[in-house]
Amino acid sequence: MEVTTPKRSGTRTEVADLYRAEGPRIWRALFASTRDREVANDAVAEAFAQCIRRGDAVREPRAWVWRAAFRIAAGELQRRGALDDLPPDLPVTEPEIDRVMPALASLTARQRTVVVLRYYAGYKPSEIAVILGTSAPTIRVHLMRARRRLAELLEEADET
Amino acid sequence: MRRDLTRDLQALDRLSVPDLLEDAERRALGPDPEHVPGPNPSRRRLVAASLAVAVVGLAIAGFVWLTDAFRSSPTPAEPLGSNYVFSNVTLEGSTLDGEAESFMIRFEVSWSDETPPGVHRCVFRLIDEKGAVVGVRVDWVLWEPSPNVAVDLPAVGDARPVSADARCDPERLDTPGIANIEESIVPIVDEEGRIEDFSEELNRRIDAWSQRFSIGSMSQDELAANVTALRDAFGSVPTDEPNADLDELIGRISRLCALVEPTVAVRSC
Repeated sequence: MEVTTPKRSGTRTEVADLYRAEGPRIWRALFASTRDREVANDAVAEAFAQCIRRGDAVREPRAWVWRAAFRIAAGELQRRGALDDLPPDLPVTEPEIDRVMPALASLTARQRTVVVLRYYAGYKPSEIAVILGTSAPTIRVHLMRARRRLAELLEEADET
Repeated sequence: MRRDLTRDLQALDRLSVPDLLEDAERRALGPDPEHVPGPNPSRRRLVAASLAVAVVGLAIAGFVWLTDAFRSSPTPAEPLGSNYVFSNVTLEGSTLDGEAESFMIRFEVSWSDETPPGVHRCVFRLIDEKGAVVGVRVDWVLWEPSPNVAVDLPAVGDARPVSADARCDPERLDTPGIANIEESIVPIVDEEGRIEDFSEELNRRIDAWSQRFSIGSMSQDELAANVTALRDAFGSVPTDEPNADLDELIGRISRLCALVEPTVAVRSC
């Protein structure tokens, strides 16, 4: 995975640079994972806000904001008690996205998250384990099942 | 042919994204509402106000129940019910920079008899100096024997845990048998030493690649892995880590699976 961000967040300008480099990708990954724009908006804004507040205390800002954003989103979904209860309003966008999003929606919440972090964000299983606070073997199992299921769903979508 | 999911998910780049930087900067200027990540302040207050009584009640009841459930165990480091064994359990401070409420439990995993435990529901707990449970994480795990495992979880409020433990339910949740875990993203080093990402085009150039860990049906000392490694035209062995050599790769997989003699085939591409 390409790493272009500074090691320390330092100034607000550097956090702004980090936002421009990573913010949209984090938001898309969160939205694909949660399918909830409000959760994605809130998690991204709060993660970067906390990164600004902590300044130099954040040693690896890029990894930190990814991790913080997913933690915030998971916390919010847990509070709602609806981890697998997807909002019904799919975005009306382009055909390619309308093909991918329903396929992702057919996975479990954890499968959706690991597959997005792996194949969209480009993280390794060991890195996903750190982001989600679990073990790499557990991530690999979720990933194996998610990959198989998602490939089947996309093949079906391709045929229709 | 393996489907290129990376290419499929690139479609997400077409989603329009709101600019949240101003929102983040505005939040950063305000008082730090709380260390534990959560929703925006107004919603957080509303949720907190409406749920405070119920959450506190449930938390107390949950901790009392968990404390009672585990207090009866004579050996805190031993698993409850499953044959997983967590040893050398240690606790570290913050794992999310600057966020002191998050703690990392480190331990070694093995199992106590010849049967690999498989997938279990496990509970990880933080305990303060008075013996009270101040943090709980429940997860469904499939451990391999490993000397280095870590799980992180938050503590409640300002609690400062001094120890931790981990237990698993006795019920095995997966079906015993061979489970193949495949690593499919295989970068190859090109002529200029750059890492070339796995792709359908690259897939066609490679007859076969698999890095399989077979688990679930053999004893701990007999776990076997069949490794098919590729050596490219420049002598590099592609893995998901650049510049890894074959010996290192085999060594890593051997350590993972407690191999005696790995089966290795080296092919050219």
